Amino acid sequence: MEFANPFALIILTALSALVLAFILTSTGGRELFIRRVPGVDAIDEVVGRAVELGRPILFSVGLGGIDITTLQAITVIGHVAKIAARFRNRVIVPVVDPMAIPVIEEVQRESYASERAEEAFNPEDIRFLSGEQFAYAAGVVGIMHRERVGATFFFGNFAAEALVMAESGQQVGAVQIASTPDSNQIPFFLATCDYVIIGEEYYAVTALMSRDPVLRGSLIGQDYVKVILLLLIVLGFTLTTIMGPGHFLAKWFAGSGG
Amino acid sequence: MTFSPASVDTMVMLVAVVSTLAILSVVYRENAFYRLFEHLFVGVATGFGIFVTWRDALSENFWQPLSHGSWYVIIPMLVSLLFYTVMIPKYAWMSRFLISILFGLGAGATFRGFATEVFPQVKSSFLSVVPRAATEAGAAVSTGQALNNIVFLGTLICVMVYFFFSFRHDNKIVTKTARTGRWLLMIAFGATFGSTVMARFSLLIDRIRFLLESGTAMGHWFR
Repeated sequence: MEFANPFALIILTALSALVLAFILTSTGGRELFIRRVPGVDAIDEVVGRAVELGRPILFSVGLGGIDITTLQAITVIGHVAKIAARFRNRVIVPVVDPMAIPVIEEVQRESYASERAEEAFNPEDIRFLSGEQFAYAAGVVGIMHRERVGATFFFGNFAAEALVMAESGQQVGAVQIASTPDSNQIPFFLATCDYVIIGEEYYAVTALMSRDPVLRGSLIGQDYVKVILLLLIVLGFTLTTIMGPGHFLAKWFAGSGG
Repeated sequence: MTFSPASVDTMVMLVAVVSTLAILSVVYRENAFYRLFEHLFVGVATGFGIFVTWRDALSENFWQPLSHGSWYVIIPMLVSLLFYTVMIPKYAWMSRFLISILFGLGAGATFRGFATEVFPQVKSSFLSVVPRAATEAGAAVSTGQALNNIVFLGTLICVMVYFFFSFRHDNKIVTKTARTGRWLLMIAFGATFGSTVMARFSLLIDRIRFLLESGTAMGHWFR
């Protein structure tokens, strides 16, 4: 592996230690500041609008399998299902990867149980549609129209089907909120959704929604990792401008010695 | 009864035309025609998915090695079968072993991905902001490229500041930098939107052309 070198090991260890330090600080009881993200505040409002309309909520986790992006989306499902359960509303989750079904089912069941609304939870609302991108999109569009969904959530990895689904949400008059770390799909969500949580904000959602100290500490730790990387980039820029592209930092990062 | 290759082609074309029109009909409103073809699409895609799973995963990684005497491939197969215990409430807890393995693999891959994805990006960000001649270590940087690199560095700093969550945006410099980052992001999103819409229109034109050409071809067939 090109980047498996002592420098990568040192940097990764140092950055991981930084994140761990902030997690420990946060779990130790220190209140750490995280700025609000408008889109995150809108999540509760969007669920509320669907309840007012008396229509179910559709939550798409996109095309991802069981990965970090989908796990983040599943955490948001838990939060959305909790509010929906309070008002005995349904959360329909169509998925591409059948492996995600038991996890989402478990999360939703717990959310409904925590609000003592077990009877409102229907496991059939978590539906495997297809593993094929556009067949999945066609299925989601069909559900949106037939169920007349009041709110749609697009959280996860999306590709070309993003616009097809979000446009249908507009057609049925659903309040829409989207979030994806994929910068190629954000423009389409910006054009079709009421609220969009962009780029890195996606990973901040769960830390902001819950007051979980581990998540908050981790988010702040990652912020400091970004500061270090930014400083390294500025240093690299300065060195390249003064010394040319063959300087020691470029060599370290390229893993070619140094 | 036999069909000539030409008539089979025409029938395939007819199915493609009807399917295209059915799926596009949802643009007007959801209807029974769309619903029928939506379910056909999902069903066909799922059937195809099962075939691909057999061909690329089960046959290649399990059945063929097993039929050549590699009996040990039964072990991962038995472990993966634990996933189906979700169907039996009494034993559903066993599926969590598998789910936890998947989560662990995902977390590990992400950790490695940090080095393989972020480090090359950091390295490729080391650019010169002054024009320079070519050297052994790198190509020449023209005045235009140097200006481009300045824009790149400025955009990078502004956008990264926008994505800092633990810093209060009450300082004028931070607020203005973050706001500039937001604007720059929106300009980039606009450019992406424009170019992708152009690509989507090309796809639509291709589909309309297909419908028109098919219509002409089928007109000859029915005549």
